[in-house]
Amino acid sequence: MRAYVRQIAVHHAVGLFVWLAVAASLVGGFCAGAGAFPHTAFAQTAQGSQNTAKTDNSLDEQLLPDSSFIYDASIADLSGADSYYDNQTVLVTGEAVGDNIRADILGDYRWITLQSTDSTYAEISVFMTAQQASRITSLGNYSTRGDIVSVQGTFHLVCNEHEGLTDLHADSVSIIDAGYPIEHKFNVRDFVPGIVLVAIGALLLFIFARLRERLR
Amino acid sequence: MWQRLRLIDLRVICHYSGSIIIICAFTMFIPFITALLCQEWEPAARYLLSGGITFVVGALLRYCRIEPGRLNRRQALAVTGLSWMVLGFFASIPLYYSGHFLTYADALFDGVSGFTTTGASVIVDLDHLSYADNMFRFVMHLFGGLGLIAIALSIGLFGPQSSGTLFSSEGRSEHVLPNVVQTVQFIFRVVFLGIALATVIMMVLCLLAGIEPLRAFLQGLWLSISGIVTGGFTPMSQSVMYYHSLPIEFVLMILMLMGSLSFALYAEVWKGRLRPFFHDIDNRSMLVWLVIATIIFTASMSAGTLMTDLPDLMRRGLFMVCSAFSTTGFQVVTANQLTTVFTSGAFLVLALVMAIGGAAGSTAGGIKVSRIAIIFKSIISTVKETLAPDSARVATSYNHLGRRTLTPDIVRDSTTVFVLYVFTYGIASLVTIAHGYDATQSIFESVAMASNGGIVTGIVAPGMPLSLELFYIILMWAGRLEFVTLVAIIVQIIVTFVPRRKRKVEQ
Repeated sequence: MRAYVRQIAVHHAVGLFVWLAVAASLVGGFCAGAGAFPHTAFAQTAQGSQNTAKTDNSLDEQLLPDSSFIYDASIADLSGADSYYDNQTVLVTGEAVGDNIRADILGDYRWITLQSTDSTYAEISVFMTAQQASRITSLGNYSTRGDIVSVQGTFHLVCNEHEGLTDLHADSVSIIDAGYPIEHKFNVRDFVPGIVLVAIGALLLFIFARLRERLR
Repeated sequence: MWQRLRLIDLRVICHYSGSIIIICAFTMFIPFITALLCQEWEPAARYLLSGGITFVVGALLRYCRIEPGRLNRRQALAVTGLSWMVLGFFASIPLYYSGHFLTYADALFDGVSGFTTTGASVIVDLDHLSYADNMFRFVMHLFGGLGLIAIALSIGLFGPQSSGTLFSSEGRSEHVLPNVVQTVQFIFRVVFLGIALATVIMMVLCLLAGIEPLRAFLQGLWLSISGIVTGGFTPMSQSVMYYHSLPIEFVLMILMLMGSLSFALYAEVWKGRLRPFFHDIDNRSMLVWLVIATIIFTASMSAGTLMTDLPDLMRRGLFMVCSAFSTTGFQVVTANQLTTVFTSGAFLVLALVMAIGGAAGSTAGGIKVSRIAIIFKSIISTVKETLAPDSARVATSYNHLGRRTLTPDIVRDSTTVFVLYVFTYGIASLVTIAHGYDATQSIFESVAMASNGGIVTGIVAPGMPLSLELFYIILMWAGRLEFVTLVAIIVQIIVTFVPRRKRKVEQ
C-alpha cells in the first residue's frame, strides 16, 4: 500500500515539474518576444533593429554577462586561429582603431579594425554595415582612445567573399565603452634641453669650420 | 699580408662617421617638424632632444681630424659599414622613449630594420603611434633606401676625392652618369618623382576609402616611400591589408617592382634608349624567375585545402610573391595565414623568392637575380667548353648597359656573394632552430632577415629572445652591405687588435 502511495506521489511530482517547465518556457518566450532578456535584446540588435536603445552610442552593460551562449573568443585567439575557428560564431571585444574604411563603392559596408585591449595588441578586421559602423564615433589613434566595441559575428580564416582575407563578419555591434580624446599638454620646458644641445652642435660646427679655414 | 688600421685611420674614420651622424641628426628634424605641425608636443620635444644629442656627437667626432684628406679604400669600407649600425643606435633613442617598445633591443631592432629597409618591426600598439614617430620610421626607410653614403656624397659632405670609393663600398658600383655625384642626384630624382606621383595617387585612393584628408596624405606618402625603396614598414599594424583596397595594392605592386629594377636602367630609359632596358640580363632573368615562382606557388597553393580559389590566389598570392621578390615585406595575409593557410611548398617558394631578391643596383635585397643568371651562364659556358674541340674558344656574353663579356672575375664576384648569402641563410636558420622554433619558420624568418625581406611569421615579435634579436640585427646589417664590406670590417678589426706574433730572430 505504501509503495503504491509513493508511486502516485512520484508520478504527480514528475507531472507537476513538466507542467512548470512548460509554463516557464511559455512565459520566457513571451518575455523574449518583448525583449525583456538581454540575450534576446542582443539577437534583435543582430537583426539590425533600429527600435532598441543600442542605436545610439550609449553603453549597454547588460550584454556581456549573458552573452556566453555563443563561442566567446579573444582577438588574440582569432589572430592565431587554425581551421577549427573557421566559420564559427564568436563574440569579441576590443578597441576600434584607425579609420572607418569603405568596403564598397556605395559605402553600404565598412571595415573597422578591432584591437585587443590586452597586452597582445592583436587585431582583426571586422566587416559590418555602414549603419553598424556609424555607432562607432571614436576611432583610436595617438590622440584618441577609440570606442570599446563588442562584435558578434562569423569568423572566417579564409573569407571567400573577400578574396581569402581573415575577417569577422559582424551580425551585431555594441558599444561597451565610449572613446575619448587624449590630451597632450604643451610645456615649453620640455624643449629646453633639445634647444641647448642643437645650439651647442651648431657652435661646434662653426668652430670646426674656423679651425679648418685657419689650417688652410 | 693583412693591413692593420693605424691611429690616423681611426681618426679619419671617426671624422667621416661624424658627418654621417650629422645627417642622421637632420633626419630627426623631419619628425620634429611633423610633430609641431600636428601639435604632438611630447614627440616634438623628444625628437628635438634626440636630434640635439646626435648633432653634438656628430660634430664632436669631426674634431678627430680637422683636415682628413682623401679616404682610402679601407677607411671607406669602415665608414660605410659602421655607419649603418651607428645610425641604428642613434635612431633607437627617440624610438625607445616613444613607449612603444618593450625593451631597448626592440627599439634598436626597429632602427636597424628601418635604415636597412628590412621592414620587420617589433613595435607594439603601432596604431596608436604618433604621426611624428611614424614619419621617422619612413624617413629612416627613405634615407636607408637611397643610401646614407649616397646622400652624404650628393650634399658634398665627403668632397669629390673620396666619392668613387665610398659609392662602391655601399653596394653600388654602376655610374649611370659621368660622375658619382651626378649619378646619385639622378637616382634621387627618379625616387622623388616616383614618391611624389605615388603619393598623389595613394592619397586619392585613401580619400575614396573614407580616410580623413591629413591621414590620407600621410599614409599615401609613407606607403609610397616604403614601396619604392622596398622597405616594408607600414603605418598600420595590419600592413597593406588594413586598407582593403585592390587599387592601393596594385599601385604598391608597381612601386615595389620599380624599386627592384636597376637604377642604371632608368637612366637609359630617361635618355630614350629602350632596347637596353628590355635586353638587360637583370630584367629578363627577373621576368623568367617571377613567372616560374608564381606558377610553382600557385600549383602548391592549389594543392592545399583552404585558399584555392583563383581570385584569392590572384589577389593575395601574387601580391605576396611581388613583396617577397622585391624584398619589401608588405603583407596582405596575416602572419597566421602564412603558417596555417599557405602550404609548406608555397611558404618555401616565398622564402626562396625572398632569398634571391631583385636586381643589382636597385633597393631590393637578397642575392640578386643577375648574380644567379651569371652563375647559370658560367655553368653553360663550362659545359660548352667541355664539349667543344680543343682548338675552339668559347666566349659568353650578357647584356647589361651594353654587351659585356663574361669574365672569370665577374663570375668569381657573383659566386662569392652567392656563397656568402647561402652560408648565412644556413647558419641563421640553425641559430633560429636552436632557439626552439619550427624548422620551416626558422628558415623563412632567417631568409627574411638576411635578405632584408622583412616578411615575418611570428618569430620576430616583441619580447623575442634577446640573443636571437641581436643576431637578427647583425644579419640585417650584413645583408644590407652584401656581406663583403662587413666581412672586410670584421677582418680589419681582428687584425688591428690581435697582437702580431713576434718573429723568431735567428741569431
